[in-house]
Amino acid sequence: MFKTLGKATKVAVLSIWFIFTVFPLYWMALTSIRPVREVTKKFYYPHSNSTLDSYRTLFKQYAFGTYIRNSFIVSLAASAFVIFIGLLGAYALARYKFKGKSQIMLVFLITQMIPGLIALAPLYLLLSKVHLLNTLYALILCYVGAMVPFATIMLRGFLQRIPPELDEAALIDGCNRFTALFRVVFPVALPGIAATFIFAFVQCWNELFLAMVLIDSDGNKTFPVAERSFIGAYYIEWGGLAASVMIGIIPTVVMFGLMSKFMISGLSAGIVKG
Amino acid sequence: MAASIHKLVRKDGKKSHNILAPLWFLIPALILVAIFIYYPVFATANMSFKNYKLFDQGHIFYNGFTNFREIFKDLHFHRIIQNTVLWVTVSLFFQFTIGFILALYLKSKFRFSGLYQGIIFIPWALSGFLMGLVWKWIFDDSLGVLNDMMLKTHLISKPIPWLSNPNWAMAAVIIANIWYGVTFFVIMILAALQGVPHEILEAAELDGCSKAKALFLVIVPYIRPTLILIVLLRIIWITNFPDIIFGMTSGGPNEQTHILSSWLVQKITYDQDWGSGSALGLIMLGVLFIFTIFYLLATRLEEESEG
Amino acid sequence: MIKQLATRKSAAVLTTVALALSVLTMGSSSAATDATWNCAPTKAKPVTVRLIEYFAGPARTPLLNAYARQFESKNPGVKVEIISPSQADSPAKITQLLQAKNVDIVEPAGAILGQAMSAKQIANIYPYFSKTKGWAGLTDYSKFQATLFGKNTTYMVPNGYYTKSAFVRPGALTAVPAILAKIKAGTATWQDIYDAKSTNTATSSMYAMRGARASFTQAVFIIRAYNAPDLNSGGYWNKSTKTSMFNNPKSKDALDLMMKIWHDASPAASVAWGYPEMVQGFIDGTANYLIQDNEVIQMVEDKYAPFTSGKWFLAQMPKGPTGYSAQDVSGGGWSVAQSSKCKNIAANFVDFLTTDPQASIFARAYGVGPVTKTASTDPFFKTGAWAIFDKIGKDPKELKLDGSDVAQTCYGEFFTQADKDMQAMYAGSLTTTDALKSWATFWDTKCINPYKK
Repeated sequence: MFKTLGKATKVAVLSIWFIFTVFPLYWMALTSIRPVREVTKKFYYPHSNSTLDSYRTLFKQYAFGTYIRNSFIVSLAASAFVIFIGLLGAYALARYKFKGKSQIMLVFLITQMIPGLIALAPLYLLLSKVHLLNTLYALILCYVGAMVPFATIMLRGFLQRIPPELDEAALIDGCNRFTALFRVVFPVALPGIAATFIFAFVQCWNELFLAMVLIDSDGNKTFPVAERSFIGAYYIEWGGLAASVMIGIIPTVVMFGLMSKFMISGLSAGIVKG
Repeated sequence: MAASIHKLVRKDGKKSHNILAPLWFLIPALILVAIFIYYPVFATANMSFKNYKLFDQGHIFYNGFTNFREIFKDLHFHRIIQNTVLWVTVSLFFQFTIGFILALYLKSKFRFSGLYQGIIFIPWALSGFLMGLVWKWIFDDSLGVLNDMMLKTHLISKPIPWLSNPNWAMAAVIIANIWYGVTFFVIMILAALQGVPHEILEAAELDGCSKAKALFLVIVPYIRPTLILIVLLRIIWITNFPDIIFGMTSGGPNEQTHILSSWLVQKITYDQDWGSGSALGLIMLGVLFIFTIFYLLATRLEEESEG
Repeated sequence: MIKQLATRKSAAVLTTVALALSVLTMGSSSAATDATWNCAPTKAKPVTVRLIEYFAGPARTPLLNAYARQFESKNPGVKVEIISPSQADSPAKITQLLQAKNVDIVEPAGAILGQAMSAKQIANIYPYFSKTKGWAGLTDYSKFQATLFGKNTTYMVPNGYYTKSAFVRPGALTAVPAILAKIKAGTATWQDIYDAKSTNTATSSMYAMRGARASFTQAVFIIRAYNAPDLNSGGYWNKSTKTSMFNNPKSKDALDLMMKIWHDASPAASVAWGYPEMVQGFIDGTANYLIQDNEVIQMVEDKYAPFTSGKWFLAQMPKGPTGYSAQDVSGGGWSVAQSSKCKNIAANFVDFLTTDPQASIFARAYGVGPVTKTASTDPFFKTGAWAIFDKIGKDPKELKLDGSDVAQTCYGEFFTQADKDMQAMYAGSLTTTDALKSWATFWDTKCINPYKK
């Protein structure tokens, strides 16, 4: 009796949350296939006059192919660098005991409290001095800088769970610290690294403000900046916006789907300190 | 674990006494953080003592604490503080509670649980600003689908002024934020739960603990350090998360739905007042820093008194 | 229409503004001696000219890019880069690029021109530009606009005019035939607009109010209608008293009526409406009367119905109690940045854009009033939906203001403050009396009064 009641509750809770989660996405999907003049009509299911015009607009009237490519380059490069640099730092923090270690941890932790927006103007001036404005390099650098602290802290958690005996053995086998980290520890920490990578990728993929300020040319715009073109001064192109939202979801969701198993197990290794 | 590190330290004695070895590993991260995070903060600190308005660049000069004073004197300051507290506490409460319940349900596999998990994780992968726009459209007073649905099902007899009434608008942005943030807790708590060793769960079962008891007596205490940490991170992130409000209401009507961080966005992008924006940024940093110290002290003290 | 506008030149305001500006721009050297005016790009030593748009959009951005390619092929060694930020970001982006000295040509709409001129970021291109073909082809009014800030000084070359008219959905107003007739005839008053609130239904209201960004422009419409014709050429001062129009007791009547219109004749949601939401509201039928610029025509045709369908028509803005109304007939244009290292090339590109057929194709595609002589005789701009602008041009009771007050430095600050005040008034936390008092003080103390000195 209690069991069935419990089960019913579970099904109910999971279903309600499912509907609540999916509805905005469903609504966007519907909007993206509506004819332009019916974009505000309220049909709750696809009609026979559905059209892919909004999607065509993305690639014909706008250069969304380019924007997607740029976003991929920036997000992949930045996430890869973040992992590399974060892993080095995390290794030092996980394996060594040294003076000033807790201070360094604090330096990383405080970064989480800084409202990112206030960095915009100083970073703009800085990057203009080194002539990197309006390049994808500028974005990659800033993203790496912004995400390294969090990645370091997260990766440190994973590395702590890996028995030090592992790298000790590697050291005896003739590895140095650096090669031990990448040859021996890296493969073992892979789930945690994958989790951190996804975190970083999603952040980069969606970042708006830095990209808005640092990039001018159409050819270097990233996806989120380009999506704002649909918010005209005198009209919001809901069809185009909805279509771009649907397209923009794909990479992060696919990555998530591929790695979600990794993700949970990786995280569970990282965040629970035994 | 501590013992094994010591063992390592002994074997690898030369390096561990030397601060240089770990520093080599840390230098890339530290340099990046110095340039891309701390340098801007110091530059901002300088700007916060200036009259620095982009639309009036002929008059840039140091003006002492004027920017700070004006923030505290602002007509809407009290409302913005209230909103910020409301935004953080209500969002956090629901995100955490729903996240915890879902994590518990998802811990044991069921049919399609992988697929289910994948789908309810989607919000986390989306841009907050864009989802703000999407929610804005859903909540729109006259064109929105939400009012339409409720009118058609006779839940309401006239449209709710979701975005034009400040209090409804606050509710709307918080609902959107709950939608957005539950995923984080599901992922984190699920991960934490999977880290609970089977022996502990089995021991609880042998003790004849009922499920609820086992949860609160065994599992929660076990994952408590994780919970404390993710709640802290989440509080900081929610405070620093203007995206949804920026997309949905831009702080309106009459600046009644601003929180500190969306107010900062407005100061910088719309008012183009970098002096005031910088000052507000520093105030937020200060508040979060002090909060974090108290939070950590409080949770540690509690732990000690329990232990 | 255009010629008539030119006759409204007010010497007084121009001299004052010019005086102020000549002080500000002192030190900017003349074209002849400045190396930045003598760029000679070659294939070996190419030059890039960067242009940033304010109103980027699918109707005009591709066209500008096509012009850029044409210009490049005619000028070896020159590369033109068109920067097209989303319109939500363009004001900030233009300010940013000007400040970073990283742009050659800007389109300084809104409050940007005043800011940029006072920060000495815009070059006077008159000595060079006045000898070009583009200049020769401009209408008299465009030349007047181009030299708005003083004789022999050109800070902005117009690229199109924005004229406000009322977009009306007659189908919703059949219950008030008398008012509808007056709207059609162009004699409707603001009081009539308020009275048409009787046509409100549960899902549709009379007036498309603007409650969010730039909401104070609504107040300025009605206040000017109540003050006209007692207005200076920029439209912020009373001729009779030589002080800000916000001091005039009539302004309070106007603003009170505006608040009533908001309260009784507008959708409640409009308190959060900016430009896109207003247009959307009209297209969707949430509001039946929308005051907006000419470029909205295209949008309404695309998203709602063709003009010929009769589902909507265009009318003149409502008048005040004396039968007058007033509006700015000014708008966007191109300016060469002071920091440009190749001002002659930048000016050449502006010249290219200003010459026909480029200029008239641009105006047609984008839906703005033409700036050139040949285009202003084009029947396209006198027929169909565009007929209304010819009518506005010929109506002596609709005053055309030249935008000189809007181009003041103080305008940017006023914009921000007045917007906040509007919101406070909508919310009931500020009275119209107090708002007008603070606006009057603002203009009387912080802005340049064309009648003083």
